[in-house]
Amino acid sequence: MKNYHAEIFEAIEEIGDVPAGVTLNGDTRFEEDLAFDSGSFIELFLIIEESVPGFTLGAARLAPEDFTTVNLLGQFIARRMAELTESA
Amino acid sequence: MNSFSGRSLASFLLDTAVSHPLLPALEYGSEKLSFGALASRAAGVSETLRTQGLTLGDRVFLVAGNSIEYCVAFWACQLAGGVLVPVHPDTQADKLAWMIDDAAPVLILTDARSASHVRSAAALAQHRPLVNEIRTDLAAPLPNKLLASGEDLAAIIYTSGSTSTPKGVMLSHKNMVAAATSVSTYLQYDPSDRIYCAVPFSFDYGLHQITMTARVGATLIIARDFSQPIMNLNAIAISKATVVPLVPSMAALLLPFKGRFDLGAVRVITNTAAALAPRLIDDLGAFFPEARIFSMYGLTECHRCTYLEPDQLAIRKMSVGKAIPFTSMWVIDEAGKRHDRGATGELVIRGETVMQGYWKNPEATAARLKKDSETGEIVLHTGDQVRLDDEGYAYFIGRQDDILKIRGIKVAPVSVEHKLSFHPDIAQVAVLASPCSIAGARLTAFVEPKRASCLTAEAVLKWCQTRFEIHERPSDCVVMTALPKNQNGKIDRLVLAKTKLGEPA
Repeated sequence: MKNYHAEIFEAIEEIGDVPAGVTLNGDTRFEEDLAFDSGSFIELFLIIEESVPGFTLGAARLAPEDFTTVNLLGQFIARRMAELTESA
Repeated sequence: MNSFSGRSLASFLLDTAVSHPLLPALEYGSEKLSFGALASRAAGVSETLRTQGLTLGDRVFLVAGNSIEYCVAFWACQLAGGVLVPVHPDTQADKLAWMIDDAAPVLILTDARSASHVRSAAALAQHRPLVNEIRTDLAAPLPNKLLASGEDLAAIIYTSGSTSTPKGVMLSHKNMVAAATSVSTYLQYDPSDRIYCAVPFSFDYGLHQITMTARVGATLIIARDFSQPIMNLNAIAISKATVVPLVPSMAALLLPFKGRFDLGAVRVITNTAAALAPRLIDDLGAFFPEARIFSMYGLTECHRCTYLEPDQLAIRKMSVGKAIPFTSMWVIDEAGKRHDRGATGELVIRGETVMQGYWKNPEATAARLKKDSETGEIVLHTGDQVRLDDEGYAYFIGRQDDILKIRGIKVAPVSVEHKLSFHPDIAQVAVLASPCSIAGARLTAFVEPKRASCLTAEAVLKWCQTRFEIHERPSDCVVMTALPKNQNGKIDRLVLAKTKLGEPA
């Protein structure tokens, strides 16, 4: 299953400077490591929707824990893409 | 005019718990609680508070995030006759310690997430209350009699104190019963409503969602906060919320997701804390297609002053409306003359929503609470400048203290903000004044551009040149990715002022 890390890293870098001392990897935490706020999360999703063809957020139950680390977000995107492909 | 003088706030909960015990009261994620269970748990915690020595009129701090536990603790305090002091859990330790010394609570209730911070803050205070985490595993039969009556204090809410020392607004049971009754009446809350609240309960706008839902038997869907707007939006859709209280900064964050979620169940959107920019009103209307939008205005000292009937929104978009039910309002002009229409002056509010004064601060109380020369009643002089049109609809101009003279002409920074909000690339804006030896004062516009815009300060200033009167034109403009917000979602002007002065925020 694709992990979507590349798209997520690109989006993070587009939103703003990565804090000194933080290396982007699967375990990077959005709030604690990158100091993401409400506006940053919105930017993140809008950028990813543009960079991942076919990906949209839907009315599925979104769980906050899916948006805590790069790994978990990547897994969420992969699950959502599978749902979208299935329903297409 | 109605009288709410005899009623204790907790009667809202007990009446609904007795008449409709199985109605759903609270939802928080997958947790649910009926009115019967909520009242029983609150009674259990209330008994504990009483055994810990709480007596009528004792202050109880509640320092916690939005949760079911918060609501249980709120009602427990009311049942025990305590005076609730709601404090946002992110309040800085030194400010919290100052409040502890000012209000001298017997007890601080907190949650697991905030307990360590609260204990550290409490250690800085001279006064030493008990600090306990809220328990919800207790239950007790509902009391037959309530300890507090309408004239007793129900809460002290500290104003944010962004420009001065916080002041504790004393609200009696009568005040809170009147406010909750008035607002839930004009918003037509009923038992079928599902109110989605991400506004902090430490803010009276959020706190009164607890009282109003109990009054009418509606369900309160609790969101811990608004840190992930996509989650909030998703939850609004999935929970089939019918009412969503917002502040302008929340509304602005939701708009990029227009059309992504099914928001057809939402029948009412409310806004307060600051005026909605005209364009934001249109955008919100399109975003929540089935909803009526209520523009409202108020201050903690009386909870809410005015609201605009949604059908008036198209006719007078910038108005904040008329006095809320069971209250009346007028303005007093510079000559000291009273007007109920066609005039500009300081807004005065009369009604049972008007606070009892500021805690241990008689000077500040005397500046706001004065005897009405016609009726002898105590009325609230708000300190806000308001224009009333010929039909008596109110238009907020600004805090009296904020109005300044530039080149000899009166200017309210908030009116410049309204004009700037029409700029197509500006998402949010705040205008601050600083002294100027030549013009008297100069304005700085802090703007948050819309996503993907390449807005520059020079472009903003140039745009103003062709559209604004010379005295309204900002001298400087600072473009920021995001304007700083305080705990209630309002733009944090103190941080902006420090930014302007080059101090660390």
